[in-house]
Parts: sequence; C-alpha cells; structure tokens
Amino acid sequence: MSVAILQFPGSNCEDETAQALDKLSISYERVPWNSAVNLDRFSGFILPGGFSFQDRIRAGVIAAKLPIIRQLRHESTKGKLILGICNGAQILVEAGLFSHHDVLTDIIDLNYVHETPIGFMCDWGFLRPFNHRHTPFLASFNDNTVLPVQICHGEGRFLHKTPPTSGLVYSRIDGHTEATFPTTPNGATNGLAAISNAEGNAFAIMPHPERSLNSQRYPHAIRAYAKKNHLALTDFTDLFNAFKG
Amino acid sequence: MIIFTTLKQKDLAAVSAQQLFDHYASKGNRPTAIQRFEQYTITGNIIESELRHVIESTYIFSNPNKHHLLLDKQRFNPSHYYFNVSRKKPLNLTSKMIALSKECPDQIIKSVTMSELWGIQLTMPTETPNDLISYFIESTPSTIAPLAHPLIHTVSWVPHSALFDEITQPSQINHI
Repeated sequence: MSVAILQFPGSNCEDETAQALDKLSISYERVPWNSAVNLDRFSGFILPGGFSFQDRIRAGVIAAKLPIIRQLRHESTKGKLILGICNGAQILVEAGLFSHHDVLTDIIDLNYVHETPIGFMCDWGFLRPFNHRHTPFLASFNDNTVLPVQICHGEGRFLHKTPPTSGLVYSRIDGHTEATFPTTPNGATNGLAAISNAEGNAFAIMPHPERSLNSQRYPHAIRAYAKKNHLALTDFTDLFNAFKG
Repeated sequence: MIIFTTLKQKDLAAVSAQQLFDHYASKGNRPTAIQRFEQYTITGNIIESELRHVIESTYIFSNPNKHHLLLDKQRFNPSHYYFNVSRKKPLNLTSKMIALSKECPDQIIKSVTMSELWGIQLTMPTETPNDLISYFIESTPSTIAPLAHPLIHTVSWVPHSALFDEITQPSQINHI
C-alpha cells in the first residue's frame, strides 16, 4: 500500500514532499482534493505545505471542511499515519484531529513576537522532541535529538487548551529549549513547533521537514558551528520512515 | 468611533464561505448571501466630524478605487443578520493610529483596532441568532461554520440598529 499526498488548490510543497518520499523509497500517489478516490486503499497520508484556498478566512479552514477531510478523519480512527506539514498542519488542526468532544481546542494562529504580529517569516531553526515514544513519527529519535529545520510561515503559532502529549519544540543549536524569541520565532505556546494527537498517529508540524532531509542544504553557518563545537545534528529521515511501518 | 470598509469587488473570503455552504450544507442551512466588512474602532478624545473628514480624504482606511467606506447604515441591508468576529486579544493597528494622529495633531487617538463584521442573508430565517452562530459562524470539527475560532475569537450578534454603536457595555450587544 502507498502513501497519499493530498493536494488542495494552493498547495505548493507537494513536489518537495514527493522528493522526500522518493529519496526514502516510499511509494506514494498524489490525490487531488476533489478526487473520488477511496482513501481506504492508502496506508498513510501527507498533507503538504502551501496556501490552500489562499488562506481565506483562516489558514486551512476551508480545506478542513471538505469531504476528503471527513474521509481522512475516518481513516485516522483506524490508526493510519497522517502527517500535516505547514499548511497541511493547519488543515489538520482546523479539522479537529487534535481536539476532543467536537470542540476546537487548538489553533495555529498568526506569528507574534512581543505581542506584535510579525507577518511571514522564513529562516532556519532547530527542534527537539518531547515524549518521543508516544508517536511513531518521533519514535526513532530521542528527547535530546537536535533537528535543524527550515521555518517558513505567516501563521505558525500553536495555541491550545490542553497541552499535547508529544511533539517537537523549538530549541537552540545546542539543544537548549526556550519558549521566547528568538529561539521560538513565532510566539508559539510552550515553544511548540509540532504536535501529535492523543493516539499518536496524527502529527502536525509547522516547519518543513521535507526540506531538511539533506544536511548539505543546511546553511553553511549551521554546519560550520556544529562542526566546530562537535554538535551532532540529525535530519528528518526517521520521521518519514514511520510510513514504512 | 466605528467605521466599516468593504471591497468593491467580490470578497473572496465571503465567496469561499458561500461556496462551502452551497456545496456541503443541508438545504435549510444555506445562506443566500454572505458579506464581509472590516470594522475599525477608533478610541481616544476625538471630535468625530473632524476625524470623519480626515478618514474620507485620506487612504488610511480605504482606497476609493478598491473599497467602499461606510460611515452610516445606508449600505447595510436591514434584512441581513450581522455578526462581529473580534479577536480576544484585540488586533491593534499601530501604524493607522500613528497616521491618523499625524493628520489630526489636535486630537488624542488612543487606539485603532480591527475586527470583522459578517452579514448573512437567509430566505426563511426561523432560527435565533445563537443558532445562526453555531450554523454559520463558530467553527467546530463537525460543522461547516468557518468564520470564527472559539479559542481566539469572540462572536457577537449586532442588530442592524446597533451597527455603529460603541461596545461600551458588552452586555448590550454581546448577549443574544
């Protein structure tokens, strides 16, 4: 069985996602939002980044109301793996995959720094897992792993009523975590960059792991600093390898 | 002081909301029209007539090629239901406040905040405004309503007669 890359009008990271899966020899199929395909035949799902429906009203909210997402929610109850990257994460959160009792308890809102909206940001940062054993997406890492990642969003600030069981938080290159700027660049609560649902099979990540698979893509300054200080940096291969089962 | 702007062309957020209801809502729950307005609330020690002149003659809030500037109720359809969707943490527009203060140096402008006003038209409205909020405005995982998120937004029904009223006493307007 293969993984479905769900495309919406305005998705723009599906090629990078496909390249990541190609690199790891994971078979996939691209599935448009209006396709009549039955999602039952896929083993897992990835919602790539972009600007579905131009981020109208709120990022991800229009896509979250489509019939294909209702199907996806049904597939989620079977324990299939679902990964939302950037706009895909916003869609999953708006669809309520991380909420309980039919009330939305999470949102990924506008980037804020010191109480001021800062708009779109694009930069490199670092992530560290917490409670990594809870979700297959992080199971191969440990809680001291430092993952360099490209951050690229205008609405990436996780807000929640109930803290997530596991996920990723922003850190410095030495692994020190801080929920304040500049380590956490967007004002996210508790420095969250990614969350998993209570069951661990759905994972929403705002930065771009599909762009951070190859250490040659890290900025020179990051590579040089890590080398000079003997810091071990890990890439996101194992996050995607979760789809291999 | 409250002013509204709306796009002269179709507002694509309102179009998308309308399409969601047209395609995926049951027949009884389809609005015949959805309109979106930006609501600006200006606070401070201000002389409204002078401020109104500045707002009309500058591009601070609206570009006349793109926007309708609404300073009275004439353009608001009295048969629509109006809902204000504002952020729990108000969206302060500091640059507009500074620009306005420069144009009106004699007045003290404390803040300019923005929220959204949604106008909804229904063919046979039988529901209470509270029902309309749950059908059309406030998002949940199981409904189509896309216009407000319970974690970050406060939704208020605004009767047509109260569109330009300052929300000085929330109980007057926030409670339905």
